[in-house]
Amino acid sequence: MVRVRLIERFISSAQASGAEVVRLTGTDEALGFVLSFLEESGRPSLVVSPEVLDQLAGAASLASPLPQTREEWMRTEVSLVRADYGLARTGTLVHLDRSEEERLSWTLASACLCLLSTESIVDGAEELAPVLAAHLGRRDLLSPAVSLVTGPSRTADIEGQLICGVHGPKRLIILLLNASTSPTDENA
Amino acid sequence: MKTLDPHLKSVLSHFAENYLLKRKAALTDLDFEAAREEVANVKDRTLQELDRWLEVFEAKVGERGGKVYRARGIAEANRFVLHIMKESRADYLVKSKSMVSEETGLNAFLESQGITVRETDLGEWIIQLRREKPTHMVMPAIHLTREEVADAFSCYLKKNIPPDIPTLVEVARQELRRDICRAGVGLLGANALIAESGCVMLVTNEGNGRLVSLIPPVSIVLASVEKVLPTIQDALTILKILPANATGQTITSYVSFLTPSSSRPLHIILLDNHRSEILADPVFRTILRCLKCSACLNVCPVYQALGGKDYGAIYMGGIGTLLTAWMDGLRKSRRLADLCLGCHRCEVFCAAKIPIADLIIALRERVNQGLGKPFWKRILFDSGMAKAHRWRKILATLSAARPLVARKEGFARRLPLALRKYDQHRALPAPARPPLSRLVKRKETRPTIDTPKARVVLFTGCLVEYFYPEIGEAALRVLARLGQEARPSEPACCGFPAFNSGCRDAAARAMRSALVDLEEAERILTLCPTCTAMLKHHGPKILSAEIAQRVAERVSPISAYLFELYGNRIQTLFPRRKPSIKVTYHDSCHHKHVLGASRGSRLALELALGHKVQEMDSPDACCGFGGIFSVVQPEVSASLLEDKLNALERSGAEMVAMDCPGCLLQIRGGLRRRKSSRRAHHTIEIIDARLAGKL
Repeated sequence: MVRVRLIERFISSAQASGAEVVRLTGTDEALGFVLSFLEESGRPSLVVSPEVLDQLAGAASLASPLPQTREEWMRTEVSLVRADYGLARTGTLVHLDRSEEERLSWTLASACLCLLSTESIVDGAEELAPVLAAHLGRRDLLSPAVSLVTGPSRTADIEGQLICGVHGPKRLIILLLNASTSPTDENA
Repeated sequence: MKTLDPHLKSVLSHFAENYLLKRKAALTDLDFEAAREEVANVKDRTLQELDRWLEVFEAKVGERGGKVYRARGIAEANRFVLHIMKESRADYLVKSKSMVSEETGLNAFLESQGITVRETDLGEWIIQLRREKPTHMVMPAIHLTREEVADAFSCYLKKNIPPDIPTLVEVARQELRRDICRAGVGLLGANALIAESGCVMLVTNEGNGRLVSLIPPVSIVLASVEKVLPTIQDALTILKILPANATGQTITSYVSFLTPSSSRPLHIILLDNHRSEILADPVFRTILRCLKCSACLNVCPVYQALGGKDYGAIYMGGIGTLLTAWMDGLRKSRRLADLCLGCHRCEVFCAAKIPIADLIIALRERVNQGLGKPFWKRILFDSGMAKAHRWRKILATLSAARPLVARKEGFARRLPLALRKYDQHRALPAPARPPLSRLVKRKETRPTIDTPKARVVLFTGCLVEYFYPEIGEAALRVLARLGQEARPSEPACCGFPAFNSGCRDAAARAMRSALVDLEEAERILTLCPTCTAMLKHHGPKILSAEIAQRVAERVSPISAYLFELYGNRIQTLFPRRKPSIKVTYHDSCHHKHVLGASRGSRLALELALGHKVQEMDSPDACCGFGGIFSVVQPEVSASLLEDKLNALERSGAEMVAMDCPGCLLQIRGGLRRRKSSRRAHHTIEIIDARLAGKL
């Protein structure tokens, strides 16, 4: 599928699942977005997943210290994480979990901000089967895991009414980086 | 059995409608048939070498520091959990959703051992607080209102919680997070166990599974053995179809693949609980393909009428009936098997292509063998239907008794008070006098054709022969008009009622007699989808004789035959003047779900009328007839008929067409009880009337 269409499909599928998508052109803009999000939300604490700092070093200045106890993790207000891939068909974020801290960052915050590069979007999970199998087989990690996350946590257990945030994030905001698409991409 | 109160019925009906819409949208980009074929292949391939894949899984989990326990039965599985709790010095366990733990009765067992168990799936937690059992496999608290949930929360938390759904969900979030923090052990279910990676796939929406796997210091996964799959590719094959079929989503909020961690002990308990016996059974082994998506339950008309409370089994619906036979024994499953209408709708929706309805028939046979046939089955089938000559005599006697039982317009007198539940909701038809075969001979309904284009035999079936001969006459007139030399078959029962009741021998004997008259026929046309299904699909399975196969190949529903002859040109046969009458169409279960002939009949009807039919809501919802079902389960039958008649009235149609004489008996009788002016007819009667210019 032409990349631009993959991106469009990812955005519409993610939005349909209840996620919010913000298109950003680069890391500076992403940092600016995180900052203004925190300002608008009344300066809550921000947990930054360690791997994010490789891509968005500036986020370190905004981050609170990583929680140390499970009770502290439960109180996480906002987290900033990074997805390895996006699935266009379902609007899913794919994360190759390298540590439990990463998984906790994805799971416990009330609002989860997630960086995703447009180049990492593929059509469906089947394309990633070898990548997922290789990751789950890694010996250098204590607990390799894979998470496919689509929209916020949800339930319809009471009278079938859909409500977000029953256990995990109430909001999932995807920060889509390098969203501008070059003509070469379009012809790909 | 007691049917649901109107509120709950409307909740379930809303859920079912919504489910179908969401599922359709979720499957937009997926070839469902190809996808489920793939699922069936993956599961069958794995099940062939189940032990091998379980060993690979166990070894991989061990390499990563996890531990696998193999439990033969539920007591052993519960003991393993208790052992791990004690070893971990824990007395508080939190659970994410696990059907297997329902199967083992884990909560009650652990509580009896002084351990606190807390469900964290919202629906399961609500049910736990109310000390009830789940009434749906995916939506356990579907039967409760927000007020009832608020009462349960208020009572538990000893403060007033308003019946506002977002507030209730927020309360659950706060409370359950506290509980999860307090727990020493977290217990999870599994949607798949992946052998090559030694990992567990968890498919959830709420995210509680992730919390339960991450926060407590020790994790337990409780899963049944058939959940193992060789590769992650196989798990993704299942994931393509599972969420769409379960909840109408393209994917759930969370799909997690978890491996054991050296920092957090992971114990995986694999439960057999009679699954090895199912695997060894060549008839029933396909049950183990089940993904527990609940689609069979979501589309089951009986579940819609009864809800989950009265099932009285852990696994509900069609697949639940089958699993219960092994897990709780034949005696318990007999009652559940009687709840199956045999509409086959579950099979059309099953994500793993399990022939659920056919297997329930096979289960009835096992029940008959294991527990003995009830008296009425021996009389009706072994002494009656199986003996063609005697069967004909019984029905002919009934026909002769018409003056005694008939009232007017073809209906019978009301049954005595003690039997009133069988005709309370529908007037029963009076037997016809004379039956079709004699009528044809006497009236020469069958016109002579000088140069027939083809010679066909019309297999009429018991209902047309003895109750609705006018349908047979209409069919013969239509065929004659189209240059087909047709004769009705000798009166005979196809054997389906016996077959459907698990009396295979009686069915085979009845069918063998019926086939004698069909042996030489070039083509055999039918007016009843159930007879067609018997002659075409079941016959060759119960009769090894070559004749059964030959007949099966030559049988067609009459509407399909008309299309075969004329295609869309059939339109040119009808008068140009279009009737103004509004006609709706009821899809009969066997016609649609077993024969796949509904679309053709609907089209034939529309071409005959010259306009589209006036659709009713859920035209393929079962009318509740189901043959003997309507006698065994009159309350459920009446409830389904009521829904069908309501839909019919809402459509505004003045006439309803259908292709099954059984549905006609039910719907026409129901309209009569309502004193409705709407008319019900077999499709061929409408085609006949249009060809003759009478409509």
